[in-house]
Amino acid sequence: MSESTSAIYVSMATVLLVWVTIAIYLAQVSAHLRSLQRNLKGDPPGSQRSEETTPQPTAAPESPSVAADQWTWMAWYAALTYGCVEALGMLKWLQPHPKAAGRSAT
Amino acid sequence: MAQRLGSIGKLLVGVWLAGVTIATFVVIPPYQGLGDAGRIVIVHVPTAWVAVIAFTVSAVYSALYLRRRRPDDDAKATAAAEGGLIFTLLATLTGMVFSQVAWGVFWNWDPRQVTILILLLIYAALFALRSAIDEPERRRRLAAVYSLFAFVTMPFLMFVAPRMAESTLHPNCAFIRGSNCDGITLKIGHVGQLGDQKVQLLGLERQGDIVIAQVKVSTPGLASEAILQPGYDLATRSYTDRPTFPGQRFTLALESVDLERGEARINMEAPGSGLLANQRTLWVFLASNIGFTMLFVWMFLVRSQVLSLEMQIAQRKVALA
Repeated sequence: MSESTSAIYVSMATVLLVWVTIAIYLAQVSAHLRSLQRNLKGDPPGSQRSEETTPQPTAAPESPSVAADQWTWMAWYAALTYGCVEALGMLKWLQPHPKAAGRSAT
Repeated sequence: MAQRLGSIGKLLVGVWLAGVTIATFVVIPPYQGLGDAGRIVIVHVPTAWVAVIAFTVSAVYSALYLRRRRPDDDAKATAAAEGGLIFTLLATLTGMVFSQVAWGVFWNWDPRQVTILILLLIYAALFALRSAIDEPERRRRLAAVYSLFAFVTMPFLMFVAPRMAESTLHPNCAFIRGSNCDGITLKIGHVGQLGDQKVQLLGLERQGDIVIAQVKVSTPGLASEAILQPGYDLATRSYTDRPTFPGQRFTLALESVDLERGEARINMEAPGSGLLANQRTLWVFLASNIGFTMLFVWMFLVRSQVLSLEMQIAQRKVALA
């Protein structure tokens, strides 16, 4: 792999890392939002629900703390970071190693 | 109606950022000295920029919370700080990759790397603080005060400290032209200082439209010295060749020449300096900044809504208990 090809792959991997991280965060937060909205709508007695809507199973009590989901996305992030660094290391490993210049064979 | 507008907005952000990503690899040319690795700047700088916006928004809502005591303001401050932390992490990581390509190491304790790491730790501590306090009212109040203190450090860590350091490899001059970025003008035979390097203009030689300068460079206190020959094209008014300082990644650029007066302006540049001089790169870079800002707004709105709903549910449960 030439240096130029390697550089463009590294750039692409970096851009991908940014998008994947943000996409995972947004997907997770959006899913959480939908779940909370369902919970909130389901809670009050006599709330307006269509006949097709199946009643929500009793959800596990939500913690008022925001720590749980923060830990989840931090774990996602650590995994992504580790993956990216490993991928970069692998790219470097895949490159043919040029012979050291200026060293005489002993 | 609001939902439809939201959907259109999300679609717009998606299309815009997809366009920016394509333009990053198709429209902008490889940068001299950095090649294709220069493209990382198109995502690296906007992530840092959005982090600044996010921390500012967080500080504003923290101040509003302390004034009005509305839990909703705290939710917004937290959502913005969370976004800021994510974008700071992304800026650090993309910067590390750039550093590996441009300087040969992921982390070299450059002033810019150190200050962003400190900022990261300061804001990570905000979330540690929030997690450590169970009582909601106390948690909100302390987090708001901490957030304001954290915000005070942000301009210093992001803008001031890295520019105070003389030995930074970070290409500050690519974006903001400060006093350290203008280089020095020397007459033939005169001596000056660029960063930690002593430079002496030995001569100027014209070959058609190209002017080649003879510059003696040395590190004060060290015996080693070298003669570098940066070039300048009189027709295009731009440099042609930028030799590298011995043992460093900095390059020596000849930025302007006055042959009649026998003087030239020379500058020391880190890899990436002048990246935005290219018009196509500049437009893609601006579009990327706008796209990332819109993305942050989206993330902020969704996350603050989640936190508000969590609070409502918690309050409802307390009321029912």
